[in-house]
Amino acid sequence: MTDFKQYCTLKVGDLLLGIEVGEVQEIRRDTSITPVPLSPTDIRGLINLRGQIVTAIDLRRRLGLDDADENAGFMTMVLGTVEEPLALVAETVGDVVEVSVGEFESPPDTLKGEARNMIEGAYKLDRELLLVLNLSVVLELQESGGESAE
Amino acid sequence: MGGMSAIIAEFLAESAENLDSMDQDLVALEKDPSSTEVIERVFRTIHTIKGTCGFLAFSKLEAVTHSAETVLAHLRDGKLKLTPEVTTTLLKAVDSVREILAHIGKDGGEGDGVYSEIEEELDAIDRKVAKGKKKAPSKTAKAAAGEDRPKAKTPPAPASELAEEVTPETARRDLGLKDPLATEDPAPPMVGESSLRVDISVLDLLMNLVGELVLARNQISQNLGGESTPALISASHRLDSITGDLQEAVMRARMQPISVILSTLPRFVRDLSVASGKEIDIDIQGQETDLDKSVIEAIKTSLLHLVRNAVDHGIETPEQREKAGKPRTGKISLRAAHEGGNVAIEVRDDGNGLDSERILQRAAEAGLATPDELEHLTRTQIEQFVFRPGFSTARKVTNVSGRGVGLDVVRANVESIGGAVEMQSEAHRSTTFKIKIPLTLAIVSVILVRAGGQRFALPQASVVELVRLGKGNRELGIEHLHGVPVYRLRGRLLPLVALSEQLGLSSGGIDREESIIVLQGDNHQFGLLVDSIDDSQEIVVKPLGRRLGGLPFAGATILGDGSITLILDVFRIGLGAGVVSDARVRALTADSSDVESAHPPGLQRFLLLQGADDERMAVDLSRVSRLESMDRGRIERVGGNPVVQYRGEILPLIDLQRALPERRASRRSETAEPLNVVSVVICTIDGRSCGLLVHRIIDIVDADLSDSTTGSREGVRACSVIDGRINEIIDLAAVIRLVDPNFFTRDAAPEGEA
Repeated sequence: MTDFKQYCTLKVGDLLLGIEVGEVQEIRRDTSITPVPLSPTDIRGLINLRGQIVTAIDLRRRLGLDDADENAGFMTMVLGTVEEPLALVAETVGDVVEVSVGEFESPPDTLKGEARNMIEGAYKLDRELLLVLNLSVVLELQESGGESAE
Repeated sequence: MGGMSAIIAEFLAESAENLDSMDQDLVALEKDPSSTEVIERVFRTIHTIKGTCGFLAFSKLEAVTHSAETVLAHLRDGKLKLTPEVTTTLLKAVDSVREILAHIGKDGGEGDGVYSEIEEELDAIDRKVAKGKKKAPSKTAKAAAGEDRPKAKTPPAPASELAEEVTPETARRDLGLKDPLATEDPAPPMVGESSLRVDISVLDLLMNLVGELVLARNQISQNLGGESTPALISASHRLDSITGDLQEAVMRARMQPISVILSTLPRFVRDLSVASGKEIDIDIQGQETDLDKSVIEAIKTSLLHLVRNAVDHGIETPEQREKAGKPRTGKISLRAAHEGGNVAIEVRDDGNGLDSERILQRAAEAGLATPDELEHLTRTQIEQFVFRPGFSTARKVTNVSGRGVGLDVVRANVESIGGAVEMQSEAHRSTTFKIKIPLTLAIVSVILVRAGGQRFALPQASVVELVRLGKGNRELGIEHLHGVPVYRLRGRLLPLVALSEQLGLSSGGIDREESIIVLQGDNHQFGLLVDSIDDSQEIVVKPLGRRLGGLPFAGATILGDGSITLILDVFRIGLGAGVVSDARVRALTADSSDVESAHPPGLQRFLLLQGADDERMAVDLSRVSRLESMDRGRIERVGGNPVVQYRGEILPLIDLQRALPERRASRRSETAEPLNVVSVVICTIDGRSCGLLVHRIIDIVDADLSDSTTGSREGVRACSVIDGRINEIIDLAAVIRLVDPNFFTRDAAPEGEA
């Protein structure tokens, strides 16, 4: 008797990332994002989600990867469980995969840097690894720029 | 259980309101003790609380309210006269009740405060009354209140010096009085009956939904193409008007009368004046003025602060007032009123006013301005000093100048919600603070601008004026002062901040039309350079996420086309550019004197003019207040002299060419081919303005007059080579005297100075 979990997958560079489906509110493509001058680099901008203003986080930059090709398409995943409206921007947001809890492994100690904190671990899929994002770290925004708000 | 807590919640809310109005009533009663209606209302309030807490088993509360009720009964029955001491005791009782209620609200219990002291004070009054009546023992007095004491009281304390008397008048009133316990119907109609308490979050949600409805409506009306049927178009129009009405109605639902704050003030002033030994009347007007709830919250402390200031520092002691020939009782008047889209609140006291000499002295000591600068300051500019942080914190200054504690905070608070504070003071007569605040924070008027290819919104409240440079004028208008761009705005140097640069956006080509938005940030003005000014709009402000704090944006909004636009935070933009944090007065507040100081010594600024015969003339720019183009048709004649109506005044005009003594009479007349539009240089000299009619305005230049020769005709101060041409430097005063010898001596001197 094994437990299963469902993850919504995102593709950033060659990484396949997963976020538990319960966290996801909706997925959008072709959203226009209004850039915010002077904002931290990993903030992509603002999205108009039916009258609500959502801060979009560039997952690629958040993970410290090189910038994608400017013309590359992107998709956004709006998160539903966090207090303030937030969205993640990735190259593609794909399917929902179901994984067995038994396939989970912690990240290797050799994984260093900021990515180490943001990745909770990996599920071994048939052909690749599904990296589970630690949302509270990815969104926790405990970075330098975040705290100065009034 | 839930039912019980609901009853308690209701009781608390109701009591809080009643107590607030009781504060007011008691203070009013002190002024006019004969108002039976007010006494009854106060009595009823306390009685209701007492009755309810007996039911809910709050014994402490019951004891305090019972004692208070007894005293009030004496008042009502005319057995006791309301002296300030009695009022103070009763107000103290109200405070105790409030305290207990607060405890109940917090944890359901009455707290462990001891209220025997206030009970004792109240009982002492009661006993005094009973003793004064001689024949009525205290038991009877209590019976007169229609109540039995719930518990035994401590033995009588020494009688305080309370005044009590029964005048025939009060006795008569006594007879005609109804028993308030028997009367259930409230005499004045209660507002509460037609209103309903609504959770503020519900209103916020409504507000958001309406905002979205507005956007949806905008999208529909924009997409109504040619193929739309008349029915669809008319439906869309209806949608349009309904949405507008709905938006307004929801806005109104968030409105509260400003009396929420103002009604607490009589009590506040009374307490302060008793404490400081002053006699002060407070007069409040415009209590019904509606304001958004959030705005009311935001200005509450500022308003209290201004009133406290007026009591503490504005109004003098009765003795001082008498000496100054004023009535002993000082007066603070508050006036709230709608003014356009804003609400103006005025706090005025008839106290000693501001001592500008002292302020100047302090300003000089604090190094806020050089002595030279100080000499040129107008009274208004001097008064601005009290809003400076340095002025408020230093105790010594406060004591000497008599003002300024935290006025900078008041200003900052008001400005943070898009308002403004002004102050006027008449020495020894009055001080007036005027707060101007927007009606609501939810909807803001903004100007949409473009910079660096992006669109931004600027709150109109902080915009002073718009200056369009246009393509051709750009080089003429913007100058550089030690590498810093400035703009000469009516003789003042306005520091400029390029918005695209501030935001780290690429500024694109130079040839775009540029405009300057003159902004008021802190107490400085600065100009924001933008690519273009698009439009003005009313927008709904939405907050930015947590991670976007600390940026120079006050929020964001969604425009009709669905796009997001960031709202600029003017203060932070100025701060980022370093134009508002500057602690010195400098070029921004001073006027013409600074224009000179900002230039290298020896150089003077001139306005170059071209005459009809292509001769060149120059006018000292510090005299020039404005350049105008006017229709020739606007020029009228009074007593043979040309004048023009300008900004609500009559401006005398001087035709420069005609005024100057002629040397070559032959060529003059035919050259003046009348143009329809004439250039007028508006000059101010000794506080008087006049307009120079000139042929053409060429440029503004810096020139060194050291090697000039003296002028060859009257009205010309000197001749000098500027820009490769010989220029006659006009002696403005002399020219004016040539035309109107009495110009400077005529009475009705305007009050302002250059």
